[in-house]
Amino acid sequence: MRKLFLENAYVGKPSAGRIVFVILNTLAVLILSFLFLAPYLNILAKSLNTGKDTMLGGLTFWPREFTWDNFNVVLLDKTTYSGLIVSALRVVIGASFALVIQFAAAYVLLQRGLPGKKFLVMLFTIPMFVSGGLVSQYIWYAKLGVYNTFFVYILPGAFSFYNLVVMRTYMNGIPDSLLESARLDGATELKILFRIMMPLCKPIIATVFLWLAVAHWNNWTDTLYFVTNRRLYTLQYNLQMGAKKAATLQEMIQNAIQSGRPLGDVDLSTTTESIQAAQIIVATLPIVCLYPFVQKYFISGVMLGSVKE
Amino acid sequence: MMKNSLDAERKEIRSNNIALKKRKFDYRRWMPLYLLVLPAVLIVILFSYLPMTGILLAFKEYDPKGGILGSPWAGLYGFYNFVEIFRTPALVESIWNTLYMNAVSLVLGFFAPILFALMISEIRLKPFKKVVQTISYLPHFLSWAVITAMINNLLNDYGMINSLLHTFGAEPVYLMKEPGAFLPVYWVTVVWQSVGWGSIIYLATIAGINTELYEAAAIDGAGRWKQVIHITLPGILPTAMILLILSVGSLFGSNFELVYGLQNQVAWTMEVISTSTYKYGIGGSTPSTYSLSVALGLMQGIVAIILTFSVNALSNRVAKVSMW
Repeated sequence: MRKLFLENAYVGKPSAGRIVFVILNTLAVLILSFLFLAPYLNILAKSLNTGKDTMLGGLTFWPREFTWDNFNVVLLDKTTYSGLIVSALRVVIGASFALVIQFAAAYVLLQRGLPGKKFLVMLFTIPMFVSGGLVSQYIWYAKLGVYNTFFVYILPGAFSFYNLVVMRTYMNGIPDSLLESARLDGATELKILFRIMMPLCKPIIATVFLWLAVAHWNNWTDTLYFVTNRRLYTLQYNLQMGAKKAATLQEMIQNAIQSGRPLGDVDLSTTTESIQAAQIIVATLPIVCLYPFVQKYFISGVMLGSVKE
Repeated sequence: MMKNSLDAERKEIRSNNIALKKRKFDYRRWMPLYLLVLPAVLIVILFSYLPMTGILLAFKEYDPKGGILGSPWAGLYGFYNFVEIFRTPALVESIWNTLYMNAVSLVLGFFAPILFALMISEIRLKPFKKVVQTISYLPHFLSWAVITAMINNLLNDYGMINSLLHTFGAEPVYLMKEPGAFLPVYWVTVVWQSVGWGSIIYLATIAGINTELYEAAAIDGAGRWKQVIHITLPGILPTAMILLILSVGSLFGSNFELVYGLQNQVAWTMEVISTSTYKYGIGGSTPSTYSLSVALGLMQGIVAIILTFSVNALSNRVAKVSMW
């Protein structure tokens, strides 16, 4: 029991002040953790509650009139369906493509004595500080033919110097003798990369792949900037636009009620709160279910980033 | 004797190096490697370096027919767009908004994770600690699209805020209709989203502090509070300084996804630099303001780099802490 209150270094009983502090601190942390979860729990409850009952108000963290209806509406909706497919394709293709490119580049920059290595490093570093900006990207992506195509999700973001450095740092820890002996045996660079490097780098490959996958799943600005074709909208983009439309509509309705003016030309077909709640759950469920198990991979990234090169 | 042999060794190494350099370029060894790095080089050239030419637009008057290179140069020796930024009241306001918004975010975002880490580090029950930490990471993994959708949902008529007020018998509030509520909602959201994840690095630093320091302090009669002030806080100071330096650079940058996501057409109409860059740029209705958008973005980027470097230099001199 006393271990809960005191450091090991202490001898004797905890002071009264210490006990009060520990209890208050634990209580505060409990309240904070509830605050992290509360919004999500409320939306989960709402998504499982009938829309009619929700409109009575007072729904907090547990559904009162349970129903799957909201999810039925969302999952049968064509927009959700196509959004899900585009998002899933984006995650699988985008993350794999970027991983292969970055891994290969990291292996090349690992080589000692590679002619032009300094030039390559410079080539990869400069874009971290200089960017042409949105307008220019828009103009060039259109010229390059990726604007308003699925490739705009995959190609422009496929390279990351940060990921490359992370992977190269990991590869540095692999004994050189392994690679040298393979070279002496006449193995080609490709063979060394795929047969020796890749199996040894599994942990870092998994880590970077997860980073890329979550980033692809969560991204919605690429769609906002570079896609107008509805069939290429991602789940996150649909959600974002739906929420924005709903919020604006709600204000307008309230203003109209208050001022007594007619609403006029407003599209009333926007999602209601309950359905929107179900959409949020659908868009976050993969992440929420997975992140407790994969968080360690992301935490290792924070640590790597904090180490001075 | 010793010196002579060292000199001889150095000479040998030097001649070996020269020999290495003079050796013929080994195609069979390097060509496959160049092929491996080629996709990355192509991606960077096509999607990073080519768009860099667009920086020129800041000094030009964009003409869709002429493109980036063909557009005519802007007046005032090319600096017309930069002057125009300060002549446009909406843009000047968005700059001030950004500064105000970020100054508060910076302070909150700096202290909140430290405080949270200190609170967590005082918990001795390991499983409880683990669960709390995992819960606090949840917002970090949600997209900004989801977060803004959640905020809209929570602040609605039947959202969590009004449901709780209803439960306690209080009058409903409509924060999304209050222009003044925009910034507080923004700040709360930023802290909510980042505090758990931001505490990771501090907790790691705290865990890395030598426990003997605490033991020695305890023997000297320092209570837990004194230990925190004299051991823990100095221990995390270098980390905190580096994070502060990094964040000062973003004083003029802003979270586009959150601000744009929160904006509605009624009350929450505040613009910041990033949303202006978007709305005067590709989010706008006409290409005639593209140059203005590029100039604004360029100015922000340059200011960010200058800020980061000068704060780093200052911190280097004052606290002997530097990013590099």
